[in-house]
Amino acid sequence: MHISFLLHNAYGIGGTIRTTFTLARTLAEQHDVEIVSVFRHRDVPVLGAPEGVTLRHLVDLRKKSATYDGERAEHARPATVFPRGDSRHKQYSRLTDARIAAHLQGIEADVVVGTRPGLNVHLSRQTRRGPVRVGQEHLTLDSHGYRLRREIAHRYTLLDALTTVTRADADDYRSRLKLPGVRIEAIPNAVPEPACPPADGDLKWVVAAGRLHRVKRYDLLVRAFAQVSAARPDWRLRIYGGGDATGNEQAALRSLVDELGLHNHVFLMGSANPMEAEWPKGSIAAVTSERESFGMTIVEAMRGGLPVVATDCPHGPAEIIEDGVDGRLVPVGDPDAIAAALLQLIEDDGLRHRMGGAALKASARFDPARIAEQHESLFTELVARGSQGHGHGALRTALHRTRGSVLDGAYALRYKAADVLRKGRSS
Amino acid sequence: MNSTVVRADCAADRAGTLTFDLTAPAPVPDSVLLLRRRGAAGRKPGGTLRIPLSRPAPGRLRGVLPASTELAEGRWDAYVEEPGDEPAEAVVEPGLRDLRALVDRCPDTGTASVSARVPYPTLDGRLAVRSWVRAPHAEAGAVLAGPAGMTVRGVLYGVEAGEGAVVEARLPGEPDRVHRVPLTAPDPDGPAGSFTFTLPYAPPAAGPVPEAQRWQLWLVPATGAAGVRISRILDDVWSRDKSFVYPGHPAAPGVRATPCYTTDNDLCLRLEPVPADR
Repeated sequence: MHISFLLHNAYGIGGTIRTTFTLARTLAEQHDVEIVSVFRHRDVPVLGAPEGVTLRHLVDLRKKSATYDGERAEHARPATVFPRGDSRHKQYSRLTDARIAAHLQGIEADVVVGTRPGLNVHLSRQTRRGPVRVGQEHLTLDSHGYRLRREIAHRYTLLDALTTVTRADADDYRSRLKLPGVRIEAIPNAVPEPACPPADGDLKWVVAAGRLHRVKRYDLLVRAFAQVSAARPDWRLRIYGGGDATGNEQAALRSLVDELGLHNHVFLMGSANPMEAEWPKGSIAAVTSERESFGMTIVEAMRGGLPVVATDCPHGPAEIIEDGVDGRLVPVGDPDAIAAALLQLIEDDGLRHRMGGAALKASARFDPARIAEQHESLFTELVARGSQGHGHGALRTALHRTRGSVLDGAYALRYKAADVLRKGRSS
Repeated sequence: MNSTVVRADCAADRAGTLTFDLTAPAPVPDSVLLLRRRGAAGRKPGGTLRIPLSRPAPGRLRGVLPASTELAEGRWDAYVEEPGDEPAEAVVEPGLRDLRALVDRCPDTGTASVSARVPYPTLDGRLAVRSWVRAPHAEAGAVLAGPAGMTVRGVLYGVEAGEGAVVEARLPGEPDRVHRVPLTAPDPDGPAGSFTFTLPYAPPAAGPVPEAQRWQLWLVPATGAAGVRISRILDDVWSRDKSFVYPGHPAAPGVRATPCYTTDNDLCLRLEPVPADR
């Protein structure tokens, strides 16, 4: 199969970029895979170009580049195709509307995959007839504002499939939006096996990682750790992660550590890249978020052989951790429960080692090879069936069936007519 | 120098040996891993160290820096040196640094000399090795930043604290400004070599503090003995000034005192003037 991903910016850092690279690289072992990045602001991707994958861009934002697009007049005009409800709307423009349209109308792929709501909308409105259209949701339906939910409810009807990263979110899409004929499937994110051996479970450190943001509720973890260190002063906590633009969470956490007198037990380590080598410096991981669209750090820690104490928050943790077997799930917002679960694993060396071993085993289901297989079988099925039973009705189904064969004149004409209509609408 | 970039994964073992595994793009045969001390010291004799590379597997090159090889205290930048009439040096990028064996190290306190080596990424994304060589050595542990003074627990290596052992707070550039406090009686349950002291903030803060001052802390194990710098180097944290941070307290009118580490992991007491209304 020829699979084409449409990504906001392959040259930056972020969960969606990392996940898309991992999936594309794995699929590229069997298939012809490209990643089309809407924007390019640097020469080389920060996360390293995925091996075996063709990478190209549509809009060049490198100021020193001969093909710099940032000064174009169309780039100053607000986008009309990219939905206003998507938080990235400000970065999109008439220029992106047109460039993405040209890309999707000329696309040669069997499967085209969008990686955020705004791009999924582009896919549904602008992809030429033929390729299977798959939208990916890396966040969750309930994290989107009313405006975006309304826009995607309307636009997603023209997708062939929508994938979410949790079953809980897939259920939300099924029950809250009417998307007849759109296959909705939950496929978790992939996490590669770490390149270093798993933790041995004997170092007396608890490890947490993620950007320092209120939603991660590190304040609860720090409060819980006050109880932990009172009972077991030989155990300490490392929190990895940098601050982000949304507030001064780092300073808030620092003053909480001071207020609780935990400066010999709780350390804000700053960001670590790669995180892979940091997990095995601990024996227990903690994720105390209020929400997780998936719970990538939980899987990363488990792949490093750590049992994770996590809040049973929407949406991911309960689909990753089996409570009491390969980790612990505790109620959201309850520092006493977090402390109790941490102390249970600290006090019982046997239990900690057993759960670490179970976490290592259970997390193998998130291996890129196994996750890519799930995407592959979805794509294969969709390509085989074309887009029957779908919003386009009989015409689109008929058109789909002709794909790959020689088009006869009548169909070719209809293609052109449809393209003209689409172009007219989207410019 | 050419612009080739080589990536190196590193691993440390309990004994302090570092292993460097170099990955793509594969350097030319007979390349060596070159460590060069940063700054002027790198151009002096002993300022470079060449580590031969073996081929443990196709496409991989391995260099080993045994704990027994001397590496002077400082920052050492890593390069791959390709031999030839015009030797070329490739920059080395840090890959995975598996340093779990360095966490919570407890060497034998009887050893005359303590060394620590931590591979780390420089601010511009290159691989370097931070090396400490201390003989003897005073390792700081818990630092209790109290309202009137800082209490530090630590372990002394390579020398025993005897009669008249003190800790000196010294202000660099002002040899007359030294404050001494005695070590408190050692904890009978503590590890061999353990020491504790409490340094009140008020005496150093009694002198003028026109701008931020960093008082260095030295342990003088016996009357007339040479001072031992108090640092914290026995783990994987190559620079702890931003992660091992302590609360500050008022030390005198308009002066705030805060225990801190330098980027080189030396323990200090920072005094700084603060506006009167704070």
